[in-house]
Amino acid sequence: MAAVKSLVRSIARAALARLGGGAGASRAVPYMARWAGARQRALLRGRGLVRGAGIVWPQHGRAWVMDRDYALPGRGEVLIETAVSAVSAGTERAYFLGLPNAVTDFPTLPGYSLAGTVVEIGRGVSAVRPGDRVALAAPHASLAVGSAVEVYAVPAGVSMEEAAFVSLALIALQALQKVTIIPGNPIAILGHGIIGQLLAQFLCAFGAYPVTSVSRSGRRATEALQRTMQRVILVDRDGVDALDHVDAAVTFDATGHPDGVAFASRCTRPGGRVVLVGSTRGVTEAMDFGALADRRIALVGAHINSLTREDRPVEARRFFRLLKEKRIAVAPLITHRVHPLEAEWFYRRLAGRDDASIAAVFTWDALPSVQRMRRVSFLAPPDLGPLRRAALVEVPLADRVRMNAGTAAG
Amino acid sequence: MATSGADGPRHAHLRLAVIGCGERGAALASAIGQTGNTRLSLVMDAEPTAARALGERLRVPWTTSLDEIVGSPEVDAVVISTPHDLHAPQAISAAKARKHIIVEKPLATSLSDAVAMVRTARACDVRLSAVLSYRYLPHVQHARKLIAGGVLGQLLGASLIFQRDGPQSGWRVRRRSSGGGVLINQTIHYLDWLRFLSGVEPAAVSAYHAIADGTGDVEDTAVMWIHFGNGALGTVNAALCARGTGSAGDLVECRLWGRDGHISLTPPYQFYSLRLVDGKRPGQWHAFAGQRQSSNRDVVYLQRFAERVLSGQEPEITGEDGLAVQALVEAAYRSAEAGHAVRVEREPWTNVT
Repeated sequence: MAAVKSLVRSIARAALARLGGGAGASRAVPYMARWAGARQRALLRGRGLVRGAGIVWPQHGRAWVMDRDYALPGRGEVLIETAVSAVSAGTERAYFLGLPNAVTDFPTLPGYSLAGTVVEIGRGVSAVRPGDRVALAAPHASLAVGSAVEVYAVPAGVSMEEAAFVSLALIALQALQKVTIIPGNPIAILGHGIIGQLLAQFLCAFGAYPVTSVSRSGRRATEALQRTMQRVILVDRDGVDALDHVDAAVTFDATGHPDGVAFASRCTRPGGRVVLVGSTRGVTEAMDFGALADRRIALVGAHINSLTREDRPVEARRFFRLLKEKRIAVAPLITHRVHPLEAEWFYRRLAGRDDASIAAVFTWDALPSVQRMRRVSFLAPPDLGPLRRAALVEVPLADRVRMNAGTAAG
Repeated sequence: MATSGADGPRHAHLRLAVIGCGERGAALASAIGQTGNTRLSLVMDAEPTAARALGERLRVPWTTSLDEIVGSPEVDAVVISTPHDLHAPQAISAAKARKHIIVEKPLATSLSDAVAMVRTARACDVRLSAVLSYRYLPHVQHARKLIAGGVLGQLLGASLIFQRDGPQSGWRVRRRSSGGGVLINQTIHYLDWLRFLSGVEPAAVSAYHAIADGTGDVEDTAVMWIHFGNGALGTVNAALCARGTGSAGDLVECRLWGRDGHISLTPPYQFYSLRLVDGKRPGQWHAFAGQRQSSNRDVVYLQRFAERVLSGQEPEITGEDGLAVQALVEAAYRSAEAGHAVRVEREPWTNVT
């Protein structure tokens, strides 16, 4: 064991030396720590290592795809080869840009919802077997390791692409748990992002009526949304006063914007409820709590963390059943199917002012199989390539002149 | 086989006559012999010594008479490589005689003359093309393919530097005969790159120029700021007085960047993209094409021109391409004179008289 540790240290030193020391080397420390951590876990388990590729944000506004090592699964764990991972557009955009209330340490491994195939199981795992199709909460990568009790079996008839949205579906479904939905009582949903769209579909599937969907603009007002909602209000088109006539018994605020709650309360009838779905980011001065009290409107928090570990598989099964019975459809909401190597392109688009994406997926099955998963030895050095290859190759001026010889303009 | 020009039957070869037997005319005449689909019928220069020397070297008839060229049934198309002020009258004569026309860049000394040339060619149903043959350099063709494949995305900016330590002389340093200096003589090729590669037309230009080190009355140094139609911005810095560069080895640095990537036509040619293009991993600089290419841009140009014309199509590089880049250069001259930014004339050229 000591000899292996010593060898690992030597490899780490050699990898750092290739960066030339200084700032480059210090930036490499977190990547080295992760690389060493995988080896430590593998040693402790007496198991080997596999290498896949995963998305890393080294800083705000940048996204790299780097090799990532995993110890083969330990007791109670499973190793999954990812087919598709789903982007939580609002959350990931907020962290990518470092918006208020979306603070993270870098490097960050984004993503928390994917589907794939079990390739290895650890000791004591009996619920799933290699070859099973599963979904779980894990970062965007070609491989994922998770606890066997936190992976959800994907039934036949449900595509990997749709199953990959399981974590996002749980966010929407747990919000529905917080209130009683009575057909005939008006419902409003604020926000046309993926959570708002999933909520709309779930509510329709559960017989809610009438449902009004509200958003600032129509750029995410999908054809399906227009068809299934009893009413669609676009504030830019219909004016903000249109909200006062919604008269919803329950309003779901899925905007993720701090000012959303003020608009949500205007949609809600006296004595009604406003459910704050997901992770609203930032602070607002737009809310008049006195008016809220006068109208006896209750604010209900609905974060995924409030969903118990026991309830999660139940809700996941409900999501898959609705998909299988074609009572909901996620695929029509997918606006971007992104090759993982184009992650930075995608995130920069997502960060743009004019972004109109609703749902996006990374298609890990588009990577060559050797890049998705391969066995590696303890001696395989870490992938620090992106830290080295940022610069344009410059050649001396005199050489550039020489290289142009023969192409002189007349 | 006596028929010729635009009216005649389609031949396997396009029969060309070269007008102007100077350095560029001789280079184009030599290139004609290296294509598989063109033949040199005749050479002409007002200076008999030059005409005879080239004719004898290439073993073709020579003349000092333009009328003989445009009246010859053995000529389908003319290649005009004379001082720039002669391009318009010679091209218009050739068009009226139903000869297709290849004109060395620039089309003319003024945009209005150039427009007259293109209009006449259209009216006479003959093809006219500007020799903007730097498009056919292999690395430029490769760059174009990469950009078409999505390397750049929406254009955001461009930077062009052309430098040579090469004082000019003769008709080239007289505005009346050349139309200008470093911008219209040399930089025009690279300004054409910006249009060709980006596919975005310049909308406005601001420029300064000066006679820093040369003789005559044309600029040997110039700077331009280009405002592209899509909002992108570009800079151009051109000089014929840059020590350390030579006539055999110009310094050409050209970069374009967009929302999704960056491409450098500065040796060593490289691109960087956030997109997966040409199978190359995003987020890294990749070299493309070789540094020195063996193919001759003039041969490729003539070959492609003949292919298109023999099959009854428009040439790849049209008269309108020549007009667009001429308009850009002329806008730079107008800006330098006026001291403020000016709009670049665009099709349909109705304002140009």
